[in-house]
Amino acid sequence: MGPSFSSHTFFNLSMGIYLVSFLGYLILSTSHPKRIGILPTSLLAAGFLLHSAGLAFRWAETHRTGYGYVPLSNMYESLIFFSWTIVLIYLILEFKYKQRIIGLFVTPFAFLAIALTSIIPGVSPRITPLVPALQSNWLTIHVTTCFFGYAAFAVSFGISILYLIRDKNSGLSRWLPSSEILDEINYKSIVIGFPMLTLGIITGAAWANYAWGSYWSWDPKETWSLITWFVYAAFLHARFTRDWRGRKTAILSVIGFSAVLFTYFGVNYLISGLHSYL
Amino acid sequence: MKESKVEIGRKEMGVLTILFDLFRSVKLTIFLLILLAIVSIVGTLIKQNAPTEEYIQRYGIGLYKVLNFFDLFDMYHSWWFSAILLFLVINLIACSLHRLPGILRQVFRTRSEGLEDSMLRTLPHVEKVRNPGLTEAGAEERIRSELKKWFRKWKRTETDSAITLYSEKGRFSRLGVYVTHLSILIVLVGGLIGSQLGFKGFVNILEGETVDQIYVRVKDREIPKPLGFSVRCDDFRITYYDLQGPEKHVKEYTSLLTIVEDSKEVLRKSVEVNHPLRYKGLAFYQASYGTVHHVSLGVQQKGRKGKQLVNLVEGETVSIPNSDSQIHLLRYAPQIHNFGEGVQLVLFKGNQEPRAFWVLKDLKRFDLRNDHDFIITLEGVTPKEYTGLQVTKDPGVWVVWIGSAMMILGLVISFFFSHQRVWVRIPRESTKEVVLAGSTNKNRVGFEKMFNQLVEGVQRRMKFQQPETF
Repeated sequence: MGPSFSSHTFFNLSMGIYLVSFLGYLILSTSHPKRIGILPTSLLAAGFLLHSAGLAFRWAETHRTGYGYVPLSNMYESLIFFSWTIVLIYLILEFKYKQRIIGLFVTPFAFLAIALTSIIPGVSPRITPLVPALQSNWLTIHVTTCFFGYAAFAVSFGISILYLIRDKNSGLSRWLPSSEILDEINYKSIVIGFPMLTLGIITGAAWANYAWGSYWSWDPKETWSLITWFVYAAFLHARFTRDWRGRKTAILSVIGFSAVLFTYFGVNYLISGLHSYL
Repeated sequence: MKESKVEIGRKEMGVLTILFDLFRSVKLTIFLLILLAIVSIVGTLIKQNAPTEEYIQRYGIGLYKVLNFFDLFDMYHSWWFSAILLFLVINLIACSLHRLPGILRQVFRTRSEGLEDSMLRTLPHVEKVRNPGLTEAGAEERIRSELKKWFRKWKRTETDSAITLYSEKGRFSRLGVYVTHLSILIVLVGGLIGSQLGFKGFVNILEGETVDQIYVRVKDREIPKPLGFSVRCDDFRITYYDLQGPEKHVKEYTSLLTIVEDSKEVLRKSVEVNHPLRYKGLAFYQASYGTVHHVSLGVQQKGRKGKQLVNLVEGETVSIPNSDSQIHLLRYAPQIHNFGEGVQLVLFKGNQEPRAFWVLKDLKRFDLRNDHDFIITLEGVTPKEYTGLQVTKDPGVWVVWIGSAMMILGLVISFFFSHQRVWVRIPRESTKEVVLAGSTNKNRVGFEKMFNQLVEGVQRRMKFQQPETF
């Protein structure tokens, strides 16, 4: 039982709830087409509250150990935060568009992100003090914006998968939202994600300029975030041309999210660079 | 003659038009963005700007030559990567030029506010509401109070047959996309300024020492660059977190620097990671640190009495007094095979082959140290800490920040605001239907919702015999 006992418990609880919520979406969507009800969403919201409380606890814990920092500084903390942003963005979109079936494709990511903290070797909930380069307010804003972007893209990925399933199998279309609605919500989540990613890249550049004296050095993490940016920029332009709308943009969103995943994990575990700590 | 000239001119126009049409197409934009995404991957798989030997070792000389031919070891600065970016810039400018007149007309011209029958066929949202027998003025009043819920104001036009109320909002949001596109050009210009007028160098300063030049790495060489002023390192220290247990975590690297100009101390600042020192357009960043060893050697020449002391630091070469020989200190090692500390030296004697050998402190009779003409002993070693500073000049960085701020602004405007327009035509004859029409340039789903609510509201209000306000 380390010093991070309490927040870790909160995160594990919310992870369990996200799993149950996912099962709720699954069972209800197969038995009551189009009428999933508020049960899985209520569960998701409850998990989200616990999750938020856990984040607050974690923050307090960093202060209790004597080197307080905003808990966004390592793989463990970023995965926890990633899950939190996915749920937040999904809840907002569900509140706005009332398309609960999308929850079926989004809740697994919220669950998986927390589960990964126990699966990936070397990821530990231990609170360690920040190395000098990470002691910057830019860190907080950089990580926050990046992960809101990533989470919005994760939601868009879930919607795109749903879109592609609907596109392939017209038999399902009776109980799935219309293509138009899916395309619209997909666009909406990218419209949240793209400015966030842009802001994330810019604040990262500003931070690099403070810490290393150069706002852009084509380090693999930077480059991959730019690759992601290019893909979603292509998505946004593709949506303006009529024959790209729909299926092709959904595929672009899937590719974009693969780029996100590579930026997040691939660069850390396959390529080394400046971002060795996250 | 005249005719053919005209024809050529027309043909050239044709080519230009075709080129312009190609460059203004959004499909080209999508193609270029995806191309950039794909080629950018290469540079993350091949390490960039590493020393040549490393590449040859890794890829072999044959593959090295091929990769080097395509500039893949510095691909983000290669001609072909720049060319793709240039195409994107041309594409962006061509698109903007093509669309700008239309957009400007939309934004700045006050258009006709009447609702013609011909428009009803092209406008995406048209609804008709039956008038239950209200007078023209009564209907208008009710419609106005509903319109007020959604729009701040409206324009009223009267014709012989109808009154039309026209409302719009977010007209300037049409410019958002231009703000974004312009911002990309500004960021690129900022980057270009930085790469042409700026530089990135480094300097190591020993505690207590002063430097007046830095070094810029070009390929595998380090080229000195005078600063025009001096920088002194008064102190370098590492502070650690106060932890229980054996672990040590660095909290901060701090260099106390003083800028000296015309032998006056003009600025003093402690530089930490994330807290650089800026002076005259240059920025000094805490980048690294290390220790160099000041070594004191005793040199006794054969056939002469007495030892001479020679002081030098690692990497330094000094002449041995009263001889034609020079000695170079290759490196210092704190422990050599249990024999204690020692230094590796290179002796340059006249035009003989240079000779490298070790001299150990505690092993005075170690043979290798002995040369035919000199007996060299290691008298003392003083470690000295130095701070490693990154020194950069980038006059384009502010341009990049301005472009970045504009980019965010532009994205917010173009994503979260739309130009929404609504017409309500109230016919003078109460038997005719009231026509509502609307259009938006973005966010169709959201607009549709709003428009349907507007229509319902108008229907509801017109059903009441008395105006609601009573």
